[in-house]
Amino acid sequence: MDPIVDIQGLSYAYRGFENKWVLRDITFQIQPGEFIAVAGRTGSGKSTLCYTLNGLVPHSFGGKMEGFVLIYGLNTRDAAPAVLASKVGIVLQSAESQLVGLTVREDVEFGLENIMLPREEIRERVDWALDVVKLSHLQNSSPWNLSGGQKQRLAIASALAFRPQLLVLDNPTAELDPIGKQDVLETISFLNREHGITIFIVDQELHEVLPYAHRLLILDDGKVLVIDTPEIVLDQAELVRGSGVKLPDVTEISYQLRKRKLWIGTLPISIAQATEKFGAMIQGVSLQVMPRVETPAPEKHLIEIKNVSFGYPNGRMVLQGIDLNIDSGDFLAIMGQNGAGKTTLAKHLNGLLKPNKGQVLVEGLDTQKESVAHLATRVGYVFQNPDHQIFSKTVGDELSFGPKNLGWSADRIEQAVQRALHDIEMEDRREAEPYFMGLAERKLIAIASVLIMEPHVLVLDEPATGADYNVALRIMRYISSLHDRGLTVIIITHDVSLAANYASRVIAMRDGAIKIAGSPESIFQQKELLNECNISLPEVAELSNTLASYNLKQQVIRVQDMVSLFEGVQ
Amino acid sequence: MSSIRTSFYEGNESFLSRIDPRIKLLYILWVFAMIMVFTDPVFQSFTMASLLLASIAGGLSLGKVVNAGKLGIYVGLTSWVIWTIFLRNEGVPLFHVFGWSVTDYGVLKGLSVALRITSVLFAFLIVAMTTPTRDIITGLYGLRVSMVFSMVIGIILRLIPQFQSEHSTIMEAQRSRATEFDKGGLITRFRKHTAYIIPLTLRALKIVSDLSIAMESRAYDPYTPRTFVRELKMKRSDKVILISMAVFLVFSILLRIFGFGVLQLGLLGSGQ
Amino acid sequence: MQAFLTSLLGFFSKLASLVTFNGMFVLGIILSIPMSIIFIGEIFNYQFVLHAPFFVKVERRWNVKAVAVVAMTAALSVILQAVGAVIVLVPGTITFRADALIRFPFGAIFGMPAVWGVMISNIIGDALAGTLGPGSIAGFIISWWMAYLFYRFYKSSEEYSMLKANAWGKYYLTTILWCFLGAFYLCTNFQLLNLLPTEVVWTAVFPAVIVTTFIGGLLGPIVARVIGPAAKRYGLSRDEMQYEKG
Repeated sequence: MDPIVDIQGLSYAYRGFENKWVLRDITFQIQPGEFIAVAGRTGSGKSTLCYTLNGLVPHSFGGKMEGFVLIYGLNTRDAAPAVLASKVGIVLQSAESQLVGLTVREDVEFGLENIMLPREEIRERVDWALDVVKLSHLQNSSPWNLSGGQKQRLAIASALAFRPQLLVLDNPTAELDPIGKQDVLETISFLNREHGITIFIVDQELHEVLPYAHRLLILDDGKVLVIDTPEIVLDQAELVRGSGVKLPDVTEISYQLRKRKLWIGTLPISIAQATEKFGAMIQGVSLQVMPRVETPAPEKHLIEIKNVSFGYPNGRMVLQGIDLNIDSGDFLAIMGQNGAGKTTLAKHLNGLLKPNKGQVLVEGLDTQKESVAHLATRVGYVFQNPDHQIFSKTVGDELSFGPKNLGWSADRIEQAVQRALHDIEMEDRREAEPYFMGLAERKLIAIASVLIMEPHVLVLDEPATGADYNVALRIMRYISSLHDRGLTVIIITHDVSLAANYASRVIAMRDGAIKIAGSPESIFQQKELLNECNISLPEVAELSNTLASYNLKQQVIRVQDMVSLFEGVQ
Repeated sequence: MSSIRTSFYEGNESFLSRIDPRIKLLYILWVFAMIMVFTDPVFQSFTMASLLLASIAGGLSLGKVVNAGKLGIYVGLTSWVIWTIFLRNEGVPLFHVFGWSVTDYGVLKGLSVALRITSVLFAFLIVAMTTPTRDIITGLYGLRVSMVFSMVIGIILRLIPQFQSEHSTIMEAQRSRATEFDKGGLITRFRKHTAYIIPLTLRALKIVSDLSIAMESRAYDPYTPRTFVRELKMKRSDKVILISMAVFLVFSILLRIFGFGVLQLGLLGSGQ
Repeated sequence: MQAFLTSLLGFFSKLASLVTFNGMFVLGIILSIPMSIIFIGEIFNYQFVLHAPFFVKVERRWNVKAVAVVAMTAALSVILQAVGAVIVLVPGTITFRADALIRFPFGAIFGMPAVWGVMISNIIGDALAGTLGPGSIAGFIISWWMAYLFYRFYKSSEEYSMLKANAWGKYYLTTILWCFLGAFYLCTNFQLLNLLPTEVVWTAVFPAVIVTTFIGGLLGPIVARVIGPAAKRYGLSRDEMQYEKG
């Protein structure tokens, strides 16, 4: 069979940076009908590789290109993106940035109008594409009213309407909540299975995408590190980890065991593959349950949320009768699907929102009566996207903005800035421009510029979402070290493994109310209740549940605990 | 900031909603021309009557139309008042307020200007309330208005809500850093405004850079002709309206040339 | 500060009375004619130059990025107009024109797409706010000039990123130049259309336009310092978009 994609010796550098190769000597082929998953750290060239497939590189980006890309024998150098659009569809990370039309239908029509199809055919194709992604019933709505997953499905429909043989997806699920992720991945897999469309998808969450993938490509520093079946690639765990890609938890556990000579044979890539072997290891062994030490509740709570309800002027109720106490030293994770009220609840903590009913007391102060500026010295709030916060020309200026607002003396500001720079290891970058730093650095600056006001509580909205594994790890280590120094931390997150690994307490919300609350261990035992809140279990907890039939009596939710458990068995 | 509405479309079926969007766009220009031809409110009232007729043909509630154009009415009324004050010594006094006379010339002149200010606005509002945005854009294209311009209008209307939501998030992020925008000296306050203008602009650059990649991937090129799903076809009623607009305009211009429709009172001539 | 602004307004209105309203009007006409001609020339891609034949054809090919930048400028400007209108500096006359903070520097950074974007923002802004009227046309043209002057006076990325002191100096000179050109054009137009009595036009509108816009644009270089390099990085600055030849 002729390959659908044939890349030979491809190297590429962007215009203005001609001596910095982003892609280096890439060679591989894709057969029709394949599902290829692509992973690699930020800056490894994943997006650029996507753009070479539909001709945006080099046609739109310019720059220097060596080697060639053939799509069904057609050299992308000789074909304009408009021609390639009918062969290669592309879907980008941010669903919103791709919306062109003012209604769902218009958005799909847009591309077909550009290639001057007859009206009748446009209508037919739009009907078909919307039907495939199951959005027909919403065709006259504004795309802005769709959920994240629906928006991304709309972007897929818009690409699909061109009837391409190849669909390229550049990290399409990174900004979605778990339901949206699942929604989009299932749609993609359906296109691959039922319509024979070849899929080339960049995704950092291997455990989510691997069940569908035929082959896995790992990019590192612009080069193809390895491309093969997922089993073969993940068996080279050292290599994969070295390229900044997070292994699925089961693979990680067995890899850790292999290093300790406790695992023989290939590494599993799914729970199903692992169950039997793990099961055999613990069968017939009695395991000791290590109870967690519960700290006694302090007499005075740091933050008291008493029967709080909140609704927007249009009448939609977002919070209904919330009762919650937060104590000094807590590491609280707030979970739940989009629209459950997580962020609305968090915004009550520093007075950005005031309850319609009930009361929020921060260190005894009623938020109803305090300004946000005043509460900022008690509760720091870090927004999800650091770009919403950073605006100064230098890191130093950015850090000193809050203290200046608080009217601190120059001496005090200077000391605080130096301490903050030291904390985030950027002493030598005080005069550097923050905008063009990596995501990890920008996140750290955003956190530090809130912390510098010396709050006692730090609220972080999705601290690690959208970041690749190493970046997320660096951010979470920093937050964790702050917690160790006595800071009370509250995170809002979709990421169950993050909650499992760091939080001391978890609450799960649904429809504006708290459905479950407790320690991570106790929370992740209540699978049914979590399902109602659309929260899935961490992979390790899933594994732990399956191993229950093999005599595992205790709920294990962290990779390290699971590894230790098996070590203990031996 | 209250949210900026980006569509006035009411969505109801009516005589006006079925009219070719090109005709409706030309109607806005027609109102502008007609209102500029005359300076006498009596003659201008014909154009105003057409607005009333149009809103009835569009099945629109007058309250809604007036509400949408509140600000314009306010501007019109203000300028009416200003003119009556300034022309208090010209024309025949009608009555007195606080010792100042209000003259017939002042009242009529002010009214004439107020009608000029508001008529175009209401023509626009009535058309916008009876035409989906997409059709307005197709209409612009159909009128041979630059294709780039028509496309740009569509993208702007799509970007405004997104930028607005970015803006409100940024404002919250900065307020969480103890920023109080209304405190401090003038320069300090200005400096604080850069705390949302810069992040908003940077976000805008990112969004637009992604958007242009998405548009290019979907084969958009400003110079390549495109099809439009919505077909523009002039019906008989459209043609009748077009011809009557033309006839009325020519007739009005002739009237004006022969000296009708000009506000003439006292010693002051036309064009003042 | 408020007292200072009020006295500034008084100064310009005094100035107008000294020249006499008729004098101002004549001056306005003299400025408006070439301003309109240059504007119309650019619609057809003919650019005014200081030597014969005075208008030269510019080759422009708008690409997707340029189209997107037109829309971005317009959308941002509409939003900032709405944001700034809430901030009253001198009750009744001076509101904070936050949009000026991007209109001036964008002309320098993005060139023609921003120039048209700024003009379209005025059309859309008036239409969405419900203030569309005969006076709007002069408003479109002077806002076009806001960015156009910067497009013509700034060239390199170092300049539009306001990295050097003289780029800042040029910024304020250009802003002041626009304040006068814009105020004259608008007021002359208002008088021609009889929208307001002559006295009001020259003693209230004229100074208000000058002062509000100058103040609004005061911190433009701070914005440009950040946005200039960022635009270049995204491939959206005038030198990166490559919509113009030569």
